[in-house]
Amino acid sequence: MQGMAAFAIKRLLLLPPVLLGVSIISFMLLHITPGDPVLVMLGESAAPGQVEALREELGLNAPLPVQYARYLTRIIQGDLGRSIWTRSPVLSEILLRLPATIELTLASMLIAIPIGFHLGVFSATNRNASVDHAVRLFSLSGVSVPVFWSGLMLQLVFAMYLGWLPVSGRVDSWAEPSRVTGFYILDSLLTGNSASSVSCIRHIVLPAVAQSLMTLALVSRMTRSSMLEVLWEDYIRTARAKGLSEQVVVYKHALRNALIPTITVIGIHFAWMLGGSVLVEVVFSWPGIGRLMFESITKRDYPVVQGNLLVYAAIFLLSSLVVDLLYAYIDPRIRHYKR
Amino acid sequence: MLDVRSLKTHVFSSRGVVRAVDGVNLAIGVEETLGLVGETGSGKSMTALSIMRMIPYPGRIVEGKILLEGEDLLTKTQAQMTNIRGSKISMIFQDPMTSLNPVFKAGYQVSEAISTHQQLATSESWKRAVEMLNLVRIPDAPTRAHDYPHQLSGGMRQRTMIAMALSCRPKLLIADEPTTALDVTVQAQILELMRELRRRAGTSILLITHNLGVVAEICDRVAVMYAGKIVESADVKTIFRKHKHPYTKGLLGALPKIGSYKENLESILGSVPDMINPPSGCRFHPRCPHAKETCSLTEPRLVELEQEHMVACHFVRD
Amino acid sequence: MAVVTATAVLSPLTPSDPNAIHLEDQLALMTIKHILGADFHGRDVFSRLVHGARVTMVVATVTVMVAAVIGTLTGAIAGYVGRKVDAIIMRTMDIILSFPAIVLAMALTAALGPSLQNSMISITVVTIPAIARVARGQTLVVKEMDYVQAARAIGVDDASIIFRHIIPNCLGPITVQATLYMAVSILTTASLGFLGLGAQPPTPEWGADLAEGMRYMREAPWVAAFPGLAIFTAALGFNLLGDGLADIMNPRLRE
Repeated sequence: MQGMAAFAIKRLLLLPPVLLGVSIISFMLLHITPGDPVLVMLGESAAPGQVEALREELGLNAPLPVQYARYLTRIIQGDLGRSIWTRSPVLSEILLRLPATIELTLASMLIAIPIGFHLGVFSATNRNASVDHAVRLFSLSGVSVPVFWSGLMLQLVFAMYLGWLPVSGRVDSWAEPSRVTGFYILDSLLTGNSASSVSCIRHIVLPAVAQSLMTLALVSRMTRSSMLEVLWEDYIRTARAKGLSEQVVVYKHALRNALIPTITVIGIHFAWMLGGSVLVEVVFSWPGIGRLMFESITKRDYPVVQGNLLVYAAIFLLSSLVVDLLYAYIDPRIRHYKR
Repeated sequence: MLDVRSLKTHVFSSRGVVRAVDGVNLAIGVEETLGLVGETGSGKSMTALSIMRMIPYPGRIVEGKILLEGEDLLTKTQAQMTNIRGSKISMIFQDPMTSLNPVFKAGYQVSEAISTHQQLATSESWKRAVEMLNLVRIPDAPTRAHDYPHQLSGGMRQRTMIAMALSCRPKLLIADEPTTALDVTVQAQILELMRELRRRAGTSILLITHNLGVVAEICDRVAVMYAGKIVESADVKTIFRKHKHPYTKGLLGALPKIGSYKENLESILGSVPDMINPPSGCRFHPRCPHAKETCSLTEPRLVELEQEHMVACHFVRD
Repeated sequence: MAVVTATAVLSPLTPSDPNAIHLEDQLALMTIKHILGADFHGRDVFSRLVHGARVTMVVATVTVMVAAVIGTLTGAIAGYVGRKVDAIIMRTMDIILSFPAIVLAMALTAALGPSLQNSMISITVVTIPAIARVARGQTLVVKEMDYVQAARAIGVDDASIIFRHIIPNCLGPITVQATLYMAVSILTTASLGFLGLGAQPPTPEWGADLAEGMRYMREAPWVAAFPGLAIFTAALGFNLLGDGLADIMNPRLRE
């Protein structure tokens, strides 16, 4: 797999400039605020002593380039500063909540991808016009639904009216599992706490469903159009001429090629979901980094906002890399061509 | 061995019914190579696909019998046909680049053909596949088998296709313009390969082409097709020297010949007819330099002139 | 498909008629004497929806238009000039794209101060890279076309080439993208409003209204439900439109 390694390295080398740019944006955030950022953070009624102290702490008195240089060095060492509200290191605050968001994203993906795939394949292989239109309409709808609204509606119906599932939160307070990895479902399974597992799973259903809609719609749509194109290709004809059963032709030969563009979309969506989870997390009071972002913005806790942004970008870039690698794995042509 | 009788394949498109194959009779003997010649749109490819029963929607075989070693393929179920394809009848196509799946290794694609029809372990199929690749003269076959289609040259891809098609020793190989997409030198190599393999395996070949040079190289007999019907068929020498049908004459006349002093290449006037509304009577009559009134009224039937030489023209005796 | 698209697009366009419905600030408790109900402050949900539609449409149109113009220009220049300029521009786009859109929009709006204008700026910034990408892609294709080569051979200067040849050819895919991004813009505006970062009260805005309605979910779910429905319909309308456009643009080769 030498091709893969070379490819991976090439991609990694592209990262530094982007990372640099990301850090600049993150840094600038504090400084594009009209007015005095410190006052904004502490509120108008803050005592001048406090204001000055914070200013010192944040190093805002030095000239801009110096500030940036300091910022950069700090970040490289992993120090993202301290939250103004809780006084604990930003990085640890984020890491505390990161597993929750990842768990939610994984769950949503778990719902969206298989269903999306099968819907797409089904609609591509059935020439029935009404089925096709139905699926198209469905996918367009899925993309148009505002996530917070669908979340709310789900809450309304399933939690409030029907009472089948809990309204919000990650787990019932009495059922919280001991912290091993931070992934509650995993933790509860590892510690053999079945009551906790059940509770966690029950809690994750609604938010995951709400978040999966958009991706589900898109995946089914992409799979469908991709499959349609692939099924017309010559090599499918060859596969049939070889005497392969229709099922093998569709699921092995066609799908693998159809997956190629779809995988990129899925990858992008994974990264997007990690970021876009804000809305779902707010609606369902899910303690993830999305909600952290929201809360810190509301409280004007700038260090947390900045740190969070950096983390988001890092995650996104990392997932892009993984997606590209996956893409190269599936489509051998990519490995051998220069970017 | 292969006997096609009164085959009719029509395509029911939104613009009308395209009578792509309209009453075709063919026969291929054991170890015989039949060339099916005609312009684009004459129905040759559709005939081939009909034999494989791979006509895409909205086309359908509406009439006829296709007898492979006595059994009518048109009565088989889809499952049975799936078994037959690749094992009793194989087909190779025109453009080897797009005809091979880009995400699978060359060796894998060949071994897939093998393992589908013969219950063999993966490693065993792979070995056989490499053997086949060797047979089609791909240099360094064991290593090359791990290559992907885009890493191979056009000639090698077509060889892979041939390897794939012949891997289960089919009785009939249908080759649809196998050399058209290749360079001339490579063409010659592929034809040479096909000749050799045919000898070894005793396969009959149905070669579809519009290139008469290829026909001269490799075919035993030739059938000329025009507008969905066969207009002349004979053994290869007769076709070249003693052809009777005006269309055949036109086709041969359009070939530049070394040593001749003709200034202009003769081309056949007009263009391929609309297959939804083909010309009345003899379908060639609008373009035939010898057309008379009868030609637009009644369709000529295939008449046997001499031994095995069939022509469909009213004025054959001239 | 065309019929569906047309009807769907019409719905968000209702605010075009300047219905001066001024029940907006009526103070009364929640009742159902209003067509779609009333919110906590007694404001008629329906009229808020209609006015909110206007706000939403304005925001969507402006943001996408501006983003389209800037995006097309930058993308075309990047694609045409190539090399360093291209690299710089595309890296910048990549940087912006490194952040999930909503998050970046949130952060920018928060930094600038939550208001409708600022949310518009944020959304524009976030939309530019996508359009620039499309423009660049098209430019790269068009650049190699014969008529462009011919124009250069005659000696037409670069700026004219870009404006007269390249950009008109980019318009097709860009229009499709722009339409789809209208839908995205609508959703993002609503999201920002929902989070309190967009339009401020008492301006009617679907997202903000939904957030308010959230508090009274048990007693009066309609206050939250309808704005959401409006957002959905509007977004769907544009998505359908964009989809329909994309279909028309694609040469219809297959039967």
